Amino acid sequence: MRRTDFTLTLVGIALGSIPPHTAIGAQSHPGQTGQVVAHTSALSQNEASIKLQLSSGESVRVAFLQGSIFVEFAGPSASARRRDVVAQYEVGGPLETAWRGLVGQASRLDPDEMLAALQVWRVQGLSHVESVALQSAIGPFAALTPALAPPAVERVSTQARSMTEQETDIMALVGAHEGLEGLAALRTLETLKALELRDGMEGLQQLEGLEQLGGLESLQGLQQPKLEQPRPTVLRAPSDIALQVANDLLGLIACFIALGALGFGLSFFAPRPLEVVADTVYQSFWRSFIVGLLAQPLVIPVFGMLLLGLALTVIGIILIPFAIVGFVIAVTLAILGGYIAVARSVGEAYLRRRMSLGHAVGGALAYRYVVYGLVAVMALWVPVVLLGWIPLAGTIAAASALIITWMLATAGLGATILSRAGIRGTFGRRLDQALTDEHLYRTPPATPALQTYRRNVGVQ
Amino acid sequence: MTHRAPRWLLGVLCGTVVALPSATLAQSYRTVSATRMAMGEEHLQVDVTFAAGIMRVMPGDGTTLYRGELHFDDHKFRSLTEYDPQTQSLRFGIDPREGTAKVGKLQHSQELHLSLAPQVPTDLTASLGAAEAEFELGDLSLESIAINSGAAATHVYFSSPNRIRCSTLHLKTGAAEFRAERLGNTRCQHIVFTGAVGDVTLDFTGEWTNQRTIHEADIKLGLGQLTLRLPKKLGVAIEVDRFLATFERARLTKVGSSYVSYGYDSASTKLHITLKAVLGDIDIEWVEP
Repeated sequence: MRRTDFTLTLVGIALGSIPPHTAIGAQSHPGQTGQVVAHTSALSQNEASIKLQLSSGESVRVAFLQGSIFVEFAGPSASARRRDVVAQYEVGGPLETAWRGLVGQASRLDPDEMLAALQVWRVQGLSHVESVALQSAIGPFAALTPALAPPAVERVSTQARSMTEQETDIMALVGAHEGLEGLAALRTLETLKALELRDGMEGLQQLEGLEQLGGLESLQGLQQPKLEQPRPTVLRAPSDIALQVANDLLGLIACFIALGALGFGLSFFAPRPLEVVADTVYQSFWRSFIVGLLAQPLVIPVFGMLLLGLALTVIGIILIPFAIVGFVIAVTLAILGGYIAVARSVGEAYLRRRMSLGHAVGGALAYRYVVYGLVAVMALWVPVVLLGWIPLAGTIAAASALIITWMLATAGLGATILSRAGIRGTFGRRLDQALTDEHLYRTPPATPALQTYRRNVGVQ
Repeated sequence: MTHRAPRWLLGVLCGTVVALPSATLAQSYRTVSATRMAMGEEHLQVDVTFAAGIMRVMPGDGTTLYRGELHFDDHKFRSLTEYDPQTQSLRFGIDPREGTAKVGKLQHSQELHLSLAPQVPTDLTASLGAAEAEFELGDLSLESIAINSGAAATHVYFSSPNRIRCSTLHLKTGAAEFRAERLGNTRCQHIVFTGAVGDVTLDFTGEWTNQRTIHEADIKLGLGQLTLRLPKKLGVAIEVDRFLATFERARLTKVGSSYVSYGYDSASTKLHITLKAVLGDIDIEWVEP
């Protein structure tokens, strides 16, 4: 029992040593007078508080928190803060209910209205203790006054004003020297037009400066968007035409070499699939074309579904970059490989006809088919190269070549799909024997064994 | 020994009965408001942060510099209502509390409402998470705007022209439905949109009050549907860089590397659009001004 008494005494001493007010940074005492410029409020299950901020940077906060009313003064700096418990209240009682109602209105009130509402706040039917608590709560606000707002003036920042049209034009002129292409060129043109419309000397000086830098000469070569006016006919020099034809011809030869290299690669590494696809094109051209035609609009949806399917699975997300690269390579190979297979079938048909007529065509037939076929299908573009500079004829030649090339590529794509990239030969049959000379080299049928025996032994 | 098991079970039941209400009360909501009088400020920097919920930003009545209200889960988020008079900057919104790795499901919708003084030149920045956001930014004085939304539905609307010229409008969205309407009222010299995945509508109608001015728009979209609503009176030039994306060319003619609208030459205001899209559809709707 003595030990218990001693323990209780220690607890009593400890409790008694706690100060009645929990002071934080009590060294500073912010003034209780000032002009209110802002207020904040907080309302939760346990707390309802209002904080008024003064023009001096100080603030006063009154909080109802779990049965205690706190008043907190804060100075401009974080260290100057003092927090006191000024009274107690009954949780859920009329005082707290009225205070919560006041805090709930805070978001709809201006700071001056909030201050006025606090200063005149009264609650009917309170006990004496609660009335004292109410006075303690609103006491800190009594000496405060609302800040006088200056008359509303339309203010525009100097920075915004400095963004005049002239500066915009100068920025565009500077930007024009960085690269006169596309939108930058259009921008510069428009800026120049704007400057020409302006009579100021500054604009003329800028034009002269631009001319000295060579910008104006560059701009004169630009294609101006005269959409609502007929385009003038331009006569071109023969040297320009020859240069263009030579450039186009070199481009065509480069394409031929590139496709030929790809065809050689396919013939070397995948001769059987290439042959099957070529046979499919030859035997089922229109079937292949229809399949290729139907496949083209499905490429993007299939790609989207592939990405979506991978994205829906967690593990598939990391495979998306590989899937994108793989899909692009597969589609490119299907189109280019199909086109080369078409060329191979054309070349094969041509060379077999020559062979059937008894002409010598040389060895390495698989590669020869590809080369002859590519020459045939790319010969479509020769008229485009030669006649491209003539307005109407060039357009017709280009359109014809484009359409036929598209048809061949579409058929090649379809044949690739039909033959499952050259694995299935269902739609590719053997060549017509009338188109080949292979029968000339066929091994004659073997001599019947009985006749040979009789001849050798002399039996009749 | 035979009585130990029932006592043990009774203890578990009592513990469950005590723990259940506390778990239910774990989501306590808090409402915070902040209002400040306009005292002749010449500039305002506003940073809005909102992780999840419904939010709305709009112009105020002019007497207050800002007026805002937050309603949020106090256990998972903390409020930001900081205004620095020296730098004239406001941070407003909610941030996840430290240690809150996952927000999880919210019992009630969190809300943010903020109104800004129309007459004070303002730089507005907003960072949104999974929020349904509505920005009514007409009739404000916005010098620059940057809105970064995550997985959300965002609607930016300029019902009336910006009071001052604006340098840049930055819009960035993740996987979201995004609509920006009447961008012609922004008076922004440069509009930048970056979208990852989603359904995006950029409406360039409006009053286009800056005559004889070239406006720039940089638009980048990864995967999704992009609809551009363009007024017919505007001179539009579009430079497209696309990969596996369809592009509607109605009323556009190719000139050099750009597509140019009819009447581009005669238009008093011009818009140059640089468009990059990877996968999806790019639709253009021409509307009467």
